[in-house]
Amino acid sequence: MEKLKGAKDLLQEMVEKGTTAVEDIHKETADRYFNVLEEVPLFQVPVKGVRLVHDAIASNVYDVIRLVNRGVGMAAGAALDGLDRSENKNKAAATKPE
Amino acid sequence: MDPIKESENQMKKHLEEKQQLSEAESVEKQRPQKSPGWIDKAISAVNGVVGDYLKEKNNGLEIQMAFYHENQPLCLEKASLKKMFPRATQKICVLVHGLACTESIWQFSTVDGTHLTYGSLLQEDLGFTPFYLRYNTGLHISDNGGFFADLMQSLVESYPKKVREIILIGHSMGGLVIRSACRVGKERQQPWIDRVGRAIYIGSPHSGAPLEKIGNIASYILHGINEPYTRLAGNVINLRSSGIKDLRYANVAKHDWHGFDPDELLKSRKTKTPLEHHIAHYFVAGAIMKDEKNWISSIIGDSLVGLSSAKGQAETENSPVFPDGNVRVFPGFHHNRLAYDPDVYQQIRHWCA
Repeated sequence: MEKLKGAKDLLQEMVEKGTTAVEDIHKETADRYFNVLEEVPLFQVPVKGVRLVHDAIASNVYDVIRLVNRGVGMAAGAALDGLDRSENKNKAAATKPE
Repeated sequence: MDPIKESENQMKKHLEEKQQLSEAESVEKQRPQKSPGWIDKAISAVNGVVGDYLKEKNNGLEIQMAFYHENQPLCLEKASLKKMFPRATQKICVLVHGLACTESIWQFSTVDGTHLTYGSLLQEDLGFTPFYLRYNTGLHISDNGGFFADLMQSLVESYPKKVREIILIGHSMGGLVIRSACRVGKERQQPWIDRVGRAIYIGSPHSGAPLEKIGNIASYILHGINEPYTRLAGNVINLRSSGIKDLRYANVAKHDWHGFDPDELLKSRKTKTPLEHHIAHYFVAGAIMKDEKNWISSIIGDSLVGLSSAKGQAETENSPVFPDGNVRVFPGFHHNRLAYDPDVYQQIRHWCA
C-alpha cells in the first residue's frame, strides 16, 4: 500500500511540476511576442489590454489544471486510505482467535 | 589442457547435471524461488532515476537498503537468519547490483524454478553463503556506502555462525558502493572489514562513465541556449539522480561531491580513495567487440563502461592504484551479461578458490 501511495504522490508531483513548467514556457513565449508588439506605438494600448486578458485566462487555466490534479490526488489518497483500513480490518479479523 | 579451459568444461558439465536433477534432490533446490517481478524492477528503475528525490519526499516508492531473500527483505536477527539459511557456513559472499537494478540481475538460468547466480554457485562449489543487496541506487554512492557498511556490521553480528571470510561482488555501480563501504568500514573501525578477503568489481566504472559525461555536456549546452524549450529540456536532464551524477567521475566519498555544484561542466572533484591493502581486488571488464584491442572496444567498452575504467587503469593522480594481473576482459560481452554468465563465474570461482 505504501508503494501505491508513493506512486500516486509521485504522479501528482510530476503533473504539478509539469504544469508549472509548461506554464512558464507559455508565459515566456507569449511575452516575447507581446513585447515586440508593444514596441509599436499604434498597438501599444490594445496589446496591453489583450495581454492582460491573455495572462489572466492562461493563469486560470493552469491553476484549474493544478487544482484538478490536487483534487484527484486527494480523492485517490482517500480511496487508498480506505482500502488500507479495510485490509487492516480483514487482517485483524483473520488473526483473531475464535 | 589449459587449467581454465578444463575448469570451463567442468562448469558446463556441472550446469548440465543441474538441469537433470533427480527426484532425490533436496526440497530447497526443487521449490520454485520468488524473484523480483516487473513491478519491483520498475520501482528499482524509478529509484535509480529519481531516488534522491523520493528520499527527500519520504515517498513510499523509495527502496530501503536491505539484503533480500526470495524478494523479501531479510530480518537481521540470529534466529530468523538461522531459519532462513539452514546451510549457513562461516564464509559469506555479498552481491551488490548496479544502477536501477535489483538482485535479479544476477540470475542466469532456471533449473526447475531455482535461479542460478554467482552466489548460489559459490555456495555449491566453495561453501559461501550468499546475500543479495537491494538498495536505492539514486542516492549518492557515498551515502549508500555508509549504509552498506552499517548493514554489513549488522549482518556479521546477527549471523548464526562466526564469520571467517567475506567476499564482496559488485556489478557496475555496485562495485563503487563496495569501495565506498570498505572506506567507511575502515574509518569507523567496524570489525566486518577485517574479514573481507576479496572484492570483485564487475563492469564497475572506476574512472567514471561516459554516458553520464554526455548527459552533463548535453544539459550544459541546453541551458546555454536562451530558449525556454531548451532550458526545460536541460532541466529535465538534470533531474537525474545524485547516484547517476556520481558516476560521472566515480565519486565514492562524500568530499568528492559535498558543497559543489552537481551540474558544473565536466569538473572532477574526486579525491583519492585508496583500496584496502588486506583485500585482494579483482576486476572484470567487458568489451562489446570480439577483439578487445579494437578501437571501438577501447572507447565504448561493454557499451556502458569504458574498458580502461572497468579495468581500473589509473587516469589521474587521484585515482587509486589498482593491482596489475587481477584483471580479466571478456570480449563480445555487453555490460549486463557480465553479471550472469557461466564464463565470468568460472573466473570468479578461480579467484575465490
